[in-house]
Amino acid sequence: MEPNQNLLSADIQVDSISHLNLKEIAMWGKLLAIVGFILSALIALAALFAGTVMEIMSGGMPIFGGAGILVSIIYLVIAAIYFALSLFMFRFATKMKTALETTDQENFNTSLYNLKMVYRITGIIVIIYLAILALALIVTVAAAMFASS
Amino acid sequence: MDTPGNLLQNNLYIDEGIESHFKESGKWAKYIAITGMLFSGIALVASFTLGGRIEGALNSGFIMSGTAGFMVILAMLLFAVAYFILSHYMYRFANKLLVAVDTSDRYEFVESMRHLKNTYKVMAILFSIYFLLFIGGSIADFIW
Repeated sequence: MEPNQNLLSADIQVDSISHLNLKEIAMWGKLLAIVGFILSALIALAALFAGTVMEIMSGGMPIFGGAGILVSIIYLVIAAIYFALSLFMFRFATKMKTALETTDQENFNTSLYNLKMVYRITGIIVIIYLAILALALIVTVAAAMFASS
Repeated sequence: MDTPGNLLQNNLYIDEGIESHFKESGKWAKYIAITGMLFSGIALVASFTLGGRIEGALNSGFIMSGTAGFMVILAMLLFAVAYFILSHYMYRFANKLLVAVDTSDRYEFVESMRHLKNTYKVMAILFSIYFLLFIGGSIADFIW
């Protein structure tokens, strides 16, 4: 007897409504990816000027010189992550478009793998963000307790 | 004779590989959506509490900006609402996708794809507005 899983998998086919939806998803996805590429380039550009801006704001105080480099590094990391996300989104959109136009199952598979990667990376970023927030909260509470004692 | 459109549609299907991609995508999307809804709730509360303080600060003292404080509250409220709508669409997409994969329900699959389309549409519109505001602000900054 064939396993239940295979029977289930064979049931869902891309019908005409899903075909249209996926086509539109690919179109919007491509737009989002292109906007993402532009924004990540702008963030990278801002990273280059962050050091200079911090130096001007510091008024020559050496402690802020290091802060400028730190801000530049943070901006560059954000730009790199955003670029990677946009690249996965772009691959998802272009491969989906090709899959729908040529009925290529392999492109369809690769496209959805890229969609999975978009969600995985975003999920990990959210986890890191929540961890930073929790850490900031702990540090703030500890500092408040230390100050009051 | 079958139309090329129908031939295309009949050939693409959800195999085991795609099923595993969908399962993972659904789980991550659900988690991201729940976090998004929580954050939009926090942003909504902040728009009334912090927004009120910012409004007070901007409308008193030497600045006297008039409507600037109100604009801050409005911007925070709009952000919270837009973020909630986006997260809600994503949650529906994730939920329906997981059900579709688990029960092999074609209708749920169609619905999940419709919600993904709406998620991307809202996201693209928001990004476009943000982009236009950014460019408009930069031009205004340059002129003044």
